[in-house]
Amino acid sequence: MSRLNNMDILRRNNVIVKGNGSRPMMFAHGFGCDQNMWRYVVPAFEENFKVVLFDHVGSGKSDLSAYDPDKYAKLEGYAQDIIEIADSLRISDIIFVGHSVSALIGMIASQLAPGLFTSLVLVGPSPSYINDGDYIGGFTRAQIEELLESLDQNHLGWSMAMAPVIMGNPDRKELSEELANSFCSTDPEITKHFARTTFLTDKREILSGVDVPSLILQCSEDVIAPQSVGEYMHRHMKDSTLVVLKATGHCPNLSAPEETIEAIRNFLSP
Amino acid sequence: MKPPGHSDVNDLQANFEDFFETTLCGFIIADPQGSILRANTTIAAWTSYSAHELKGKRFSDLLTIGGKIYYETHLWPLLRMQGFFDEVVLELAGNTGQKIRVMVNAFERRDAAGRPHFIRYTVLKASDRLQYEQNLLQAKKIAEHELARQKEIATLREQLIAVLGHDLRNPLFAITMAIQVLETSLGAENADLIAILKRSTFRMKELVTSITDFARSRLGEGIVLNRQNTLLNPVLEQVVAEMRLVYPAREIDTEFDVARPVVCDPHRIAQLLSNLLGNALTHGDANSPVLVRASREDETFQISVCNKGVPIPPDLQARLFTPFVRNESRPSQHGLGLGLYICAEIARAHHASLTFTSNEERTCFTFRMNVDPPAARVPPGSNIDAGTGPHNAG
Repeated sequence: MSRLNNMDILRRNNVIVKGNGSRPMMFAHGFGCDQNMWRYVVPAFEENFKVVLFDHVGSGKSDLSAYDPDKYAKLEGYAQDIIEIADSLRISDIIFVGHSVSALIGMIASQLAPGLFTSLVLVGPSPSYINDGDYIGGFTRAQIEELLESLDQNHLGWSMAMAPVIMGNPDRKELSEELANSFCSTDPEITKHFARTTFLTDKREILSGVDVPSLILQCSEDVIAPQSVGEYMHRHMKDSTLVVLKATGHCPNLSAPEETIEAIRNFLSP
Repeated sequence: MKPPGHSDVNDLQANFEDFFETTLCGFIIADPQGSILRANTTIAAWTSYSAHELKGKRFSDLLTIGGKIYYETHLWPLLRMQGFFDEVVLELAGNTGQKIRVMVNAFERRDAAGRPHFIRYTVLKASDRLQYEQNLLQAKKIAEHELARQKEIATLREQLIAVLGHDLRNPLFAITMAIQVLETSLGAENADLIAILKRSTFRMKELVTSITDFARSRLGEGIVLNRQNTLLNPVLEQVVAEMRLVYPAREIDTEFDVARPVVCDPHRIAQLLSNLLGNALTHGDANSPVLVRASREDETFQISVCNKGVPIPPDLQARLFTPFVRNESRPSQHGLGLGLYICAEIARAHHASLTFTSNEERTCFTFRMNVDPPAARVPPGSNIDAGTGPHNAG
């Protein structure tokens, strides 16, 4: 494959840069949806930071043709993209904010490219989703198998057979800005593959090697990353802070943006 | 009749309560964090949880594992970002292990400041519908599979025809040569038999060429042209001479005015004339001459073949250029019905037209092509191109 130039990379990942500050702050969305996941959080940081938003390849408005199943079978493939985005923008010493699987991707990138990040904000992170002995990841292997099987059969309409829904609501005023469900719809094959990469990854061994200050934002009652996982990470990561949010669910950035913003602010300016 | 007043309001309230609880839809009201505040008896019945047990659960707690993750990673974000999601297929997981496939709509009520106030879920049982959908998908898959298989068979069949047609040429050539030898060695008393042999081998050659061309066009190769700047007079004379040999008893009149060269594939033009002339001799009135005219004007080149005889029936006229169309009212006539189809393909490859008129007076087929403007002309004999690429007949 020929080397991509900077513009190609920025286009590939639908990179958006905004904000008035000079210190770079990069937001990475997780499995499901796209950079819109940060819409209620980002405005709070635009005043003082140079905010970088992007879509992982295969999500949102990224270049779907760049989706390489081999490359993205490992989280390192996504980490490589993040390093390339930073290179293309000529930024380093970045505050990295990663949600869900992207928290892990950010940790991998921080080890592949030392100096890239000055700190990590990990929102609902998990190094491994499957229970293993004393480790409680939140899911049994059988449950993850069931999940992957339901994706294979597509019997839940995963990744949304959305076209009919989009077409069916032409006069709905909520849709005036963007098409319904477009934030979270993508190619079913890619979603299937991304789910496999996400939920079968076990990266517990890298935790002890993360040497940048990290904030673990743990939700209460998160089905996907239970509190035991946040505590486990906190125990194994040298320079980490654990904050348990009142917010429930897996997406505090959407459910409780104020609480999330406040926790990040406290971490950045102690 | 009840007097209007307070009791009506109570009735209405009771009616709403009843509507919420006793209905074929599941209704759930949740707080802005997604925690269930109230679920109706339908949801309780489907999941085998009591109304009390349901209170405080997240909606995703009621789903199978796939749905749970789908909900938390896709649907909840969607609900928060666009304020609703609808027509999403999920699977409820009951307290006692039962699974029910449902269709879910969710709507977030927001206050004036845009903050979520509460969330409403409408849950509809969808097992039958989804079963039906699955059957349709299954049927579609089977149909697609069958179609792919049929296409494969059709391609194989056409390949077989192409190969067979090609391989029949050699034995035919041997027969033709043998007839020539016999003609000189046998006496005049066998002239009739020789004539029959000649006519039959000629027809066979035509048929072989036709089915080979047809198979090629079906295989997507189309009629491939080898265009040259050609003086067509000798080419056309040759075709007529051959036909006179095959049909010695018939009169063929010619009016050729093609002194200037034409950019075309001379072999294909010969094939076209041979087919048209063959048709005229076969179907036309045996006692009347067939007239072949060719002219090269400044801008057009034209060949026409006319004969007297019974007009082409109207129903046949409409599909004359379709493969395998024959005049079934006259079963004595031979042929596969490919000749005119191939003539039309040759015309198409030359960007020319092939038209006909047929009445009591006479039947005429006319091939007419525009001649390249003078600037584009090349010296006679030079090769213009190797072909025009595939012309799919389908």
